[in-house]
Amino acid sequence: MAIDLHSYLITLIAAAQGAPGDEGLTQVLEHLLATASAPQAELLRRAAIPRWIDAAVLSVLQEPEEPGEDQLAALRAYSFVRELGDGRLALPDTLRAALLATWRRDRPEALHAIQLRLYHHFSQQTTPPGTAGGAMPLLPDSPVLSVVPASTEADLRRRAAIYHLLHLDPEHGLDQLRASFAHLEATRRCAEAERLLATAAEAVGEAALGPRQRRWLQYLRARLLHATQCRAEAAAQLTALQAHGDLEPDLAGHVSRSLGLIYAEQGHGVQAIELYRQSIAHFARTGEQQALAETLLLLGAAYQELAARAGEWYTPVAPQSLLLQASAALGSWLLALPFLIASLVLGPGNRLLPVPEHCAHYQNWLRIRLANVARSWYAQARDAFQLLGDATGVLRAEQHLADLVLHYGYPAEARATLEELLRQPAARDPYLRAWLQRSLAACELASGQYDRARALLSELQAFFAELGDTRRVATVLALRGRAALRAGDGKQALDDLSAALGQFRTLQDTAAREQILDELRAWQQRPGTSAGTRLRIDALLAAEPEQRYVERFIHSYRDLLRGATALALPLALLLMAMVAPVPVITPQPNGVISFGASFDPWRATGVVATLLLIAMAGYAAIATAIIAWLPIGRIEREQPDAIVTRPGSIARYDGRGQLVTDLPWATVRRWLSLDRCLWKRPLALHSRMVLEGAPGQALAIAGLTGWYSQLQQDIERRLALAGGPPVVRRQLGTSLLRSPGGILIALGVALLLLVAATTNGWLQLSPAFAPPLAAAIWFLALSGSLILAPIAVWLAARPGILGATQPGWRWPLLTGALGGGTVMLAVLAGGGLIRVEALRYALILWGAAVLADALVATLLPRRRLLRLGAVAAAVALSLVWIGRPALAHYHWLEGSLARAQVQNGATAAVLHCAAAATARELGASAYATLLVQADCAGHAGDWTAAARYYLWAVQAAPEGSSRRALAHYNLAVAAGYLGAPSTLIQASGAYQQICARRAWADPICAQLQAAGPPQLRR
Amino acid sequence: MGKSWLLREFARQATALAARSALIDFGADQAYDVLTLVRQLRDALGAEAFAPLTTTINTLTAPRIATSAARQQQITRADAAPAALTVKDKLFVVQTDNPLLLQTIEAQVTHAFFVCLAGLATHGPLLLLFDSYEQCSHERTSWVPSLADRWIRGELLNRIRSGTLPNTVVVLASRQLPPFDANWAAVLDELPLEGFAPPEVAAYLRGTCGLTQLSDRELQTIYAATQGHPQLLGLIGDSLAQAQSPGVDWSHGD
Repeated sequence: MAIDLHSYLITLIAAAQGAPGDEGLTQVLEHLLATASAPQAELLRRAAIPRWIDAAVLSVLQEPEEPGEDQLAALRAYSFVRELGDGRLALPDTLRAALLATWRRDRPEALHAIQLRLYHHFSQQTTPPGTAGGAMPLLPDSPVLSVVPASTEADLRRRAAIYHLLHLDPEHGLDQLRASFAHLEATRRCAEAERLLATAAEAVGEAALGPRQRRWLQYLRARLLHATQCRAEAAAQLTALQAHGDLEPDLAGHVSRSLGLIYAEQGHGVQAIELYRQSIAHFARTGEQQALAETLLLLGAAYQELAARAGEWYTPVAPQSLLLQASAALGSWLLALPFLIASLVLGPGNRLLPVPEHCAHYQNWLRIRLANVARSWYAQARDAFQLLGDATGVLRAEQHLADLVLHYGYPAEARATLEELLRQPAARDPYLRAWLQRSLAACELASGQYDRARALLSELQAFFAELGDTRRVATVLALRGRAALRAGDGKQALDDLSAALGQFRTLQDTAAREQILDELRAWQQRPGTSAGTRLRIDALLAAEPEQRYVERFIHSYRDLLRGATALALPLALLLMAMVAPVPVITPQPNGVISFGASFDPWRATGVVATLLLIAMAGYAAIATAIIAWLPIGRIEREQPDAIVTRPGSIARYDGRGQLVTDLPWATVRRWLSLDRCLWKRPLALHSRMVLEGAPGQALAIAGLTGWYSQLQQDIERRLALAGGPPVVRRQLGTSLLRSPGGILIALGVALLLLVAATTNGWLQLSPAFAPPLAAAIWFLALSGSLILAPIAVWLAARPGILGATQPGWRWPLLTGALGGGTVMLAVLAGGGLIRVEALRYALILWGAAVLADALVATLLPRRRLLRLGAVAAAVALSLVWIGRPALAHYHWLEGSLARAQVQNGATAAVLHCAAAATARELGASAYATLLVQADCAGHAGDWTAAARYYLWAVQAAPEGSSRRALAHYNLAVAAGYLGAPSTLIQASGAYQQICARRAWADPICAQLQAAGPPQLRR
Repeated sequence: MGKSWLLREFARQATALAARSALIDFGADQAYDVLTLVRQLRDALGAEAFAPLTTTINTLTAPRIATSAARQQQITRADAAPAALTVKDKLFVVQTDNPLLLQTIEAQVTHAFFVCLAGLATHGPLLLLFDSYEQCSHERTSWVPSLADRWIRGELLNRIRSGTLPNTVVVLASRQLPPFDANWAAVLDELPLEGFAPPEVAAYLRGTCGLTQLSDRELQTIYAATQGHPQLLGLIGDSLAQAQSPGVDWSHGD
């Protein structure tokens, strides 16, 4: 038949031009099909149904009577048919899509039938996923590493079968897809998994899948991205899925868990925990017990990771001197005592607490709480695995529990558990067994069996190295390094720790790397570490590009601890001042009974002991609140911040791992530190520092940050390398003892002890000390000014400069409350409570000064001169108020000391007894001053004056009081010396009458009775 | 007649110039992990030059029953195997639940592969061709690298850029190119494929398709309609050839 080529060509051209791009291809294809023979056209249409065609597939596509071999050649002849290799052909995507659309529109039943034939063809030649399929383990009895013969064709057919099944039965297809994917993911055959999902994605493009299948496919893709280390992309996909809000519970559970895994790997423990909890709730609803058990284990690990975030157990750095070491040991023992009692009460079977020496330090409480929560989740995981009959799962959970017991300081218990686990059939797996032995080596190390631990760890290192598991090699190396360190092999320790550090850095395992850095820092500070080793450790630390320092306490209890520790010493001194002074009645050789005061050392000791007990109980109460009662949700929310130093910047991350501040080193222009020390080391609770960069950009670092001093060295080193203008740390803090203030405190304490000893009569006041001078010294000592003044400077020194950069900093509020409270106590309590009068006046001055400083520091932190002015004004005002009574007290002290000197035979001091009269004129107690004058006169032999003063003292004393009785008695004595029997009898009768009414129980009356009635002496 | 044809033509010309070449088509629906990639490249370039690689693969996929020292000896002996010795690949695929183990194996295989490849490159130029490279992205709208892409760019292309793999040219043919930043400018060039020019249209239809009876005017019309689009031309050529069955008398309608 003649064909008009030109007309045919015009039609073709019209088709090509009529629709742009792929549409034009389709139109021309239709013409191609139209001009082909019917069998040829049908073959082309059918060739679009499978993704690729070979001779076998072609035979499935064709009816039995149609020839096959020539048809394959005929297909191959078309220019648009691609050769895929291995005898396979495929149509281009665009043409295939167009043909499939035609099938779905015009012949859906025929399409279904062909899809079914193709599915059966492909599925008959594949093995179900997860079957052994000829897998050969490379490690006997262990699935950790195995090989299978390459089965490219089988994988192709499996993917093709799933593809067609997705078209035929999307739900069943999805199940098979998930099963195949799970097997490939579990065996890390990620490339096959990629092709599998790409094949399934074609079904999406061909509108074969509904919303549910699409979401599952999106989820599987996210898991694949995660498995191939594309965490950010995986997280984005999973987050987008979660945003749907109406996911099926089973999918929602898996999405939450997968997202939690990613967050956990990125160090965002808090977010991971939230997601794991969500997924557990979903799995519990859907009954997926295996997934539930695995997630419980993950949740335990997440809490354990949070606990480890703050580093190893905090142990205070041992001082260099033996005396201080002993003092520190005693202090730690006292702090640990309540926890020792608690451990005994809880018993050996209930390991809720680690060994008491760990509980003693508040820096460890958060860690304990989180570890306990981890333990509870591990226990639940173990129980869940037991219900499932999953022996390996049980073993893994038990190992975690044993590791926690070991971590808590009970190696014998942990060892027993591990040895039992090693006897389990599941522990035949060499890989699992080796990991259990790693825990056993840790027990040996904790038990002091260093050589045994090192030998075992060397074997394990070789085992994991042979397998190529670099993470476990690094873990074993780190442990072996610790064992070498404990055994005294410093060189081996450094080599192993350094090697492990490098490996963890490569693996980007921040937590493990930081544990090694902690170990190195602790080693560096240990007494007895050689200078060479310190230098080498210094070099290792300096070479570490990124270091992380985590605060060691939760925010909400920080101020409570700060306040309590700041108040402890002043409170102790105040209580001693209230309790220690006792009135004393001393019979004199001349028959007079003297009334004075002394300082009872047993009372002072009692105060200290009581306060100590209260402090220990309070400390233990706060520990109990955090370890046992504080809601875990609150602890998760209050996770401490972390400071990260890097070559280019220093950054703060909040407890959720979110970046808060990033400060490039080159922009730092000022570095302020307010380190409050007792001697050299900053007190964690009361120190902080600030780095200031561009205006409005500052980074504050609390003293509670782990390795605070080392962090300062780290900052100094990095600032020096930054290349910007030199920044030197400006020290605003003070050392309480290692400073002029410390000298004052030592002097104050020494004076106080001398004064107390002299007052108590253990020392005699030398006549060389004139009473006015002695009175000044007494006043100074008893006021505690030499102790109080340095404390005020130490508490309130220059906080304003830091406060200016830290809005909301509450330290001035604390000191203001302390100052105001002190003033109120001194004023309201008066002499009734604070019996040391000089102290009361000093407390008013001190409190006013601290309060004034705190007020200005809060309101106008940058105005330093204004603060000084306010302090001066407060002191001046206070002096106006207390000046006269203080002067009266001074004169009373002068008269009293003069009396003492006269009583000791220094009669020249009698002139100064008149100071008591001056005191009386200024408002001092008439009774006390009159007694001083009377006693002085009596010792000087002037009994007439003595009698007069005693008579006035009788009138000044309260009616019926024992003091009046004392005055009567002494009047009677004086009358005895004067030869005035009527006065003697009258006075004696008066004191006896008073004491009889008081039943002689009063100490004064008892002394009067013991002394016997006065006699006529003339 | 598009990218794939061009790559095959490159391979043919390389062979003619006595250069070794390897062509991998990611559109063949194969899964390409590191082992598969290096095996295919090895087989295409000549397995005899990659005996140490094959030995390494066989060693790494062998059971771990030896001690460390013995194993190290085993690997050392294998590495020292003379190049002329033919080593047969056992063609195992690694399975593990531990990503670090797989990473270690792949790192060793990669190292062995590039040692052999660098050695081969000293004997003459190498041409490595990768077709349908868009299949190496998980997404179609943005580039999300697959395992194969990460290995090719991270290991192969990086070595070329750093100069540790000289005398080697890589061609990526793709509808969607992966992103390359400015650091690649010195070693990378992009060749967009234009449509056929009119003489090429004529050569294809008259020569390859055998449509000798097409007039210049008809060819011009075809060119004007298709703008030289290879696939469209192919379809038109197929259609015309199919219509021109034996016994059909083509007339020109005049």
